[in-house]
Amino acid sequence: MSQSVLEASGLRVHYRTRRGFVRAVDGVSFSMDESETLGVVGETGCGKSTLGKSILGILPPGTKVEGSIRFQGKDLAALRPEEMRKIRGKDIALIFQDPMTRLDPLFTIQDHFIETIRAHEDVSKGEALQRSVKALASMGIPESRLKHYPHEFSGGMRQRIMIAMSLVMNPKLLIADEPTTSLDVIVEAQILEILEDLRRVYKMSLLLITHNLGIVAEACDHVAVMYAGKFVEYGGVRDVFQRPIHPYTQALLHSIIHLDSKELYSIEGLPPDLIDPPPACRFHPRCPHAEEICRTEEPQWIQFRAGHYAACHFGKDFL
Amino acid sequence: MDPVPRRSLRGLSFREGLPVTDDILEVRDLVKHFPVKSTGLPDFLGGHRLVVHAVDGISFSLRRGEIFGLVGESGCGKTTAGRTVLRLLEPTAGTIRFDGMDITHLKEAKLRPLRKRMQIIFQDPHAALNPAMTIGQSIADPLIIHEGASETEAKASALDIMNEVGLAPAEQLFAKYPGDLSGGQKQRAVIARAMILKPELIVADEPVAMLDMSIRSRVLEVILDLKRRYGHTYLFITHDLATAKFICDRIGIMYLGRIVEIGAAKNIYADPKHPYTKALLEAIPVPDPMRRGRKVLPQGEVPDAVYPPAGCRFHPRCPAVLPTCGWEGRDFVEFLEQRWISPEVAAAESALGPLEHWEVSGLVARRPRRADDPGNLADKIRVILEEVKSPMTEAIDVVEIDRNDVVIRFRPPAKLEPVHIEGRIVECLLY
Repeated sequence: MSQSVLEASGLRVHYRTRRGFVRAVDGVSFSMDESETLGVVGETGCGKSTLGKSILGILPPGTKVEGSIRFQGKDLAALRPEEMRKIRGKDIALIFQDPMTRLDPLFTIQDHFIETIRAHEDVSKGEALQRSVKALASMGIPESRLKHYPHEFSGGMRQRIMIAMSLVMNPKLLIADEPTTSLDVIVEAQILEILEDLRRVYKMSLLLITHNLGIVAEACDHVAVMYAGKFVEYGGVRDVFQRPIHPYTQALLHSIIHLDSKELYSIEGLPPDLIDPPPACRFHPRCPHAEEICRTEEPQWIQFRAGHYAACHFGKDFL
Repeated sequence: MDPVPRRSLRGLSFREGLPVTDDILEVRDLVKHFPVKSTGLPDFLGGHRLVVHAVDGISFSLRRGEIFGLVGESGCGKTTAGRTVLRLLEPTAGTIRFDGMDITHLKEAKLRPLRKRMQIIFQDPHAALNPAMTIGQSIADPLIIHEGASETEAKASALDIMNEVGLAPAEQLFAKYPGDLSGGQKQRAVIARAMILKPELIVADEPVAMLDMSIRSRVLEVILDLKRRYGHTYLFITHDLATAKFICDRIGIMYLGRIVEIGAAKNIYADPKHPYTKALLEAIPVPDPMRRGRKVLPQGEVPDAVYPPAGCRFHPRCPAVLPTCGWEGRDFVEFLEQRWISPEVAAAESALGPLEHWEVSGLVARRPRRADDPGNLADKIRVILEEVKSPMTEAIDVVEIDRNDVVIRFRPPAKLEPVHIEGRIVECLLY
């Protein structure tokens, strides 16, 4: 029996637009264990947010979804909307990038909590309130602020409220989509430490979607690098950061400007249009190592080291 | 005879015999406050206007040809500072000298000819270009406005500068609209528009923050390359310490309207002195999984700039804080609030509450006495303060019963002065 909390295979999400289908996620497979943190990293428009939304089943109507997503063994795609609603927010929770737009300005924090809890469990208001106080206290927010409205909190506090709210149901899986991008660097570090503590204490799995490789290095066990709707590399964080296989991963790591940077490096060209992506390897037009085969044949998803996968024809040259 | 380049002439003092100054921009005690709202009462009834202390007395100067970084988190006042030195915002107080001239209160008509010598690159390239103008029109427009160039001349110059910033093929992109370009291309267009007048001073306000990591470097390279060729001076505004380290000669670290540390970038990065600078450097995520570790982070978040903390503005969050750093009444109430997050403690100390009954004013926190107060309330507070001993509690002068109030009174803070130390200026009582 598998220990996986989440297992996606052959996942495809295609958005319908006037110009044609946008192939935002195009054949992605992975699995996550209990209390694992998986970072999904990529640039704007690579499909990483769509991936998160597809797990929760919150894509716009008319979107074409193929493949399977199994959560604790259940195929989420086969569930009826009301069954999915029971899982969403309870077993699988989500925190977004901008906490301000996700809290209703007309409701107090207390209202938010009571509504969330009572949507999933048949408990009294009093009990719901008690649980809210505890969850907020664990995030360092005092009871005296329960009756305040979202605008009365700072950005970091709002994100802590969002985290408290997603945790009050004790989820098995938390999907965090750029949870710290709108926050300052010190508050970002605070939030990342909170997430790390929670994961350990509650044995929760965390899917962390981000464009920031520094955050992945600090917070994740595994990392999947996404480019133009596909995973190009997957592995343990140390393997991927220290011995990257795919040229895109190498280039991305090289292009980070960090405190020890000695030179500037950038990737030539632009990410492709996902309505009409390049054939075969999608990175080939920007790849410094591309050869004829990269333009004609789709690279296989190969395990190059134990637990370290990549999709590159020349992967073994980079071992 | 060799022609004397114009630029080096500008570097000379305009009055013979005076020492040559090489500062193109000199900012002294600059203040910019934004009014927010009044307290509701007219002034004579004790009401007063509230202001955001966006920039609250900063001084720095830019030497010709250098890149000076103004670095800090959102809301620290760096963008306001950048716009105020260009007189895009009216300064509240202080002086701004551009190339030796006091421009603090210069009238718009006199300012205009100077405008072409100082330009700005905005953060959001999607918002900085007029969607109804072609890229070429946007870039050429400053020449037509400031130098009365003809359309043909302006177009020729625009094509030149477009090639220089890497907007190629320039002829083709000239006729495109901003909507047809990628983010990186738009930012190059914004840079080209700022450069076309060959300005001497450029304020670059987070020029790469909105771009993807893989193209940030390319835009920074364009900026560095142009600087090498034309010797522009930059005020580079950023929240990203890593970029600042790479690109800046000197930096000033801003926190809540003040510069807390300023000096040569290499000195500050090698050995940061101000606890806030240290905290910022510590907090940056390092893209190396082998260097993971628990961080020492400051508490809480940046406070409201309408009510900046007394003394050093960083003191409520500072890991190295002293009793003399600026503790005041509200810090005591904040302390109670944090302490009472634990419901058990809150219940045990309910005699001191509720929190809403505490009023603060400057160095004092007070709560009206109630009939059901225990007789030894002041003693109770003293016991708690003794038990939790911290720089904050040590700053408390007296806990007393003053007529109908329980009063906590703090000692006034030590005076904070900029200190020169190891190649930088720091504003911190530790030094």
